[in-house]
Amino acid sequence: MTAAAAARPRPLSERVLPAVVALLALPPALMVLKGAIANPVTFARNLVEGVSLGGVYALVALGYTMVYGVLGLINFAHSDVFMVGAYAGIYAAAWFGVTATSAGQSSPGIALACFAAAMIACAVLGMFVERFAYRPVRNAPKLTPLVTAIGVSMLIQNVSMLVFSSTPRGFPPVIRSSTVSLGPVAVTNIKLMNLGAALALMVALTFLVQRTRVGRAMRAISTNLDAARLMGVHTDRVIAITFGLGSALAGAGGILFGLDQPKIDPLSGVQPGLKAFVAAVLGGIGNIPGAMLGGLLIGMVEQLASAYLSSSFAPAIVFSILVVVLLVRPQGLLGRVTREKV
Amino acid sequence: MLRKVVIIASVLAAIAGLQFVAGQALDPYVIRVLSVCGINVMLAVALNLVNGTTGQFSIGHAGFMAVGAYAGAFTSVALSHHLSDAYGPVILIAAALASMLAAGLTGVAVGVPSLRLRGDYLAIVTLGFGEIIRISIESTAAVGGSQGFPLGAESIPAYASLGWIWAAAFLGVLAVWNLTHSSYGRALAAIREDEIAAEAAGVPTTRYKVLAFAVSAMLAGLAGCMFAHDATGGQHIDPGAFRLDKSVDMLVMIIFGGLGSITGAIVGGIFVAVSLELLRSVQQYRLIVYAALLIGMMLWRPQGLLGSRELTLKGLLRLVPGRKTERGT
Repeated sequence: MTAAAAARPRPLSERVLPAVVALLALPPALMVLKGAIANPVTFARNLVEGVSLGGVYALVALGYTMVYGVLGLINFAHSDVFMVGAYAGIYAAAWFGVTATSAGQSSPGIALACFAAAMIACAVLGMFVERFAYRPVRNAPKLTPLVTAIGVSMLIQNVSMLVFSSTPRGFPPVIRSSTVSLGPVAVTNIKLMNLGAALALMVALTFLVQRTRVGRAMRAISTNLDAARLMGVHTDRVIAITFGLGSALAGAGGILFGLDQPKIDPLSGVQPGLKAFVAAVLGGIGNIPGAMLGGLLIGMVEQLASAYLSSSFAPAIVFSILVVVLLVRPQGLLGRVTREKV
Repeated sequence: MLRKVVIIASVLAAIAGLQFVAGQALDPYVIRVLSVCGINVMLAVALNLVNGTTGQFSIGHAGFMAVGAYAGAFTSVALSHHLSDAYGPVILIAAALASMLAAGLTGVAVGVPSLRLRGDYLAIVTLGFGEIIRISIESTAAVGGSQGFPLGAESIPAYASLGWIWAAAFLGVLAVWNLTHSSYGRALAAIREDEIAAEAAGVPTTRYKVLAFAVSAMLAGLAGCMFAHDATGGQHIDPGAFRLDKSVDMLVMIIFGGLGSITGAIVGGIFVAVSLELLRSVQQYRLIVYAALLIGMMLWRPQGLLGSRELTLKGLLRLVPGRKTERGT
C-alpha cells in the first residue's frame, strides 16, 4: 500500500544525484556562513526565530504525518484547517472583547481560551471532513482520495472567503508583545512562547501516541489497517480521532502563526501548509519524531534563506528541499524504506 | 489517408471561417469566451496526456504554462522591435515554437528526476516544481519579477486572434490524438494499467513517461504562449496567473471530462471556460461549485463524465431517439 518511490536502484543516478545536490547547495551555504561570521549575534537571533517558526511548521506537519501514517493520504485540506484555526482564535478573542484594534484587556486566561476554541473548532472540522469526504473514498484507488482532498481544500478556502470575508485581518494581541534578551540576543516574547507551546504540544502528543490505548491503536493501524481491525481495533473511530488530534494541533499552530503575522486572510494557510508538508516529507512522512525534526529544520532553513539570500526566493529553496529529499532519500531523514510490491 | 487529409483540411477551413466571421459579426465578448475555450482545450488535453492516458499525476502544469507564456512573450516582444506588424503571423509562429521548445525542455528537466516517483509522491514533487518555477519568475528582475512582463509602457503584441488560438488547439489535439493512437499510446496505456507489468513486457517505462511528460509540457507551453498573445487578453502576463489554482483548474477540466478521454478533456476545458462566464454574476460561489463538483465526482463518478471513452459522431447519433442502432458492445 505504501507506494514509496524509487522502485529499482539506478546506480548511475544514485551516485550522480547527491554530488549534484551538494554542488548546488554549496553557494547558498557559503553565503549563510559568511553572514554568520560577519555578525554572530544577528545569526543567533535568526536561528532562534527560525526554530520558533519551525515549531509552528512542526505542529502542522504532525497532522499531515499522522494522517499519512494511518491512511496513506496526503490531506491537502490540512493547510486550510490550520487557517480556520487562526480565524477561530480571532472570533474567540473578539468574544472576550479583544480585537486587533483594542489592546489592553489581554490576559493569559483569554489566550488559553483562544487556544482551546481553535483546537476544538479544528478538531470538529477535521473529523467532519474525514467522515463525509474521506471515509467514502477510503478504499478507492489512491488518486481518488487525493483529488477529493484537493476538492475539500478548495471548498474550505472558498467557503472561508464568504464566511470570514477575503479582506486581510490583523490578529488580536491576546498576548502583549515585548522584547526578551537571551544574553546578547534580543527576540520577542511571542517567538519564545510559540516555541514553548509547540514543544509542549509535541511532548503531549508523543505521550499520547506511545503510552495510551488510543495511541497504541493508531500505531497498530499505521502498521496494518486490516490486521488492526481483525484484532478488534475500532478502526473508524481511531482514524476519526487521528484526524481530530492532527487538526487540533493545526488549530494551535494557526494561532501561533497568526500571533506572529501582521495580517491573515482565508488563503494565508496555503503557503505555510505546503512548507509544513515539506517538513513532514523531510522528516519521513508517517513518522512522528520525523515531522518534529523536519519542522524545526524547515523553519531554520527558511529563516536563514530569507535573512541571508533573498526573502522572495526563500520559499523556492524550501520546495527545492522537497524535490531533493524525494529524489535522494524518499523515505525522509527518519523514515523506514518501503518497497513497492506487485 | 485521404479521409484524414479531408477532415484536417475541413477543420482548418472551418477555423479560418470562424476567424472571418469573428472579424465581421461576432460580439467581442463572445470572441473573448471562445478564445479562453481554445486555450483551456489545449491545457486540458495536455494534462490529460499525463494524468489520464499515462496514469501519472501532475499538479504542476501551471509551471509549464508559465514557461511557455514567458518564452513566447519574450520572443515576440524582441522580434517586434525589428519586424513590422505585417509579419505578425511569422512572429507568432516563432513565439509558439520558442515557447514549445522552452516548455518541452523544462518538461524533460522536471520529468527525468520526478517520474521515478509514483502516485501521490509524484503529485507533490510536480507541485513543488510548479511553485519553484513561479517563485523563480517572481524573483527574476529581468522578466519583470512580480510586476509581470513586459515592464513599462511596452506590451505583448496581440497577434493571437481567435483563429490562431483554435488552429493551435486543433494541431495540438491532433498531435496528442495521433500519439495516443499509435504504438506509443498503447505503451502509455500499459504504463497506466500496470507499470510493473508494462516494464516486464519490455516497455521502457521511464523513457515513455518522460516522452508523455515532455509532449504534455510542450502543449501546455503552447497554451501559455497563446494566453500571453491572446488578442482579447491584457497583453501583459504576471506570475500571479500561474499559481497552484491554475493547475487545480486544469485538474477540474480533465476530471470533469473523464480521465483518459481526449474528447472528454475538450468538453471539460470548454465547460470550465463557459461556466466561468455563466457564473460570473455569482463569482464568489463559482469556486465553491467547482470544489463541490470535484468532491461529488470523486464520491459518485471518480472516472469522470466520459470515463476513458471518447465522444464520437457515431456514439452521438446513437443517442438520437428513433434511430435504428446496432449495439455491438
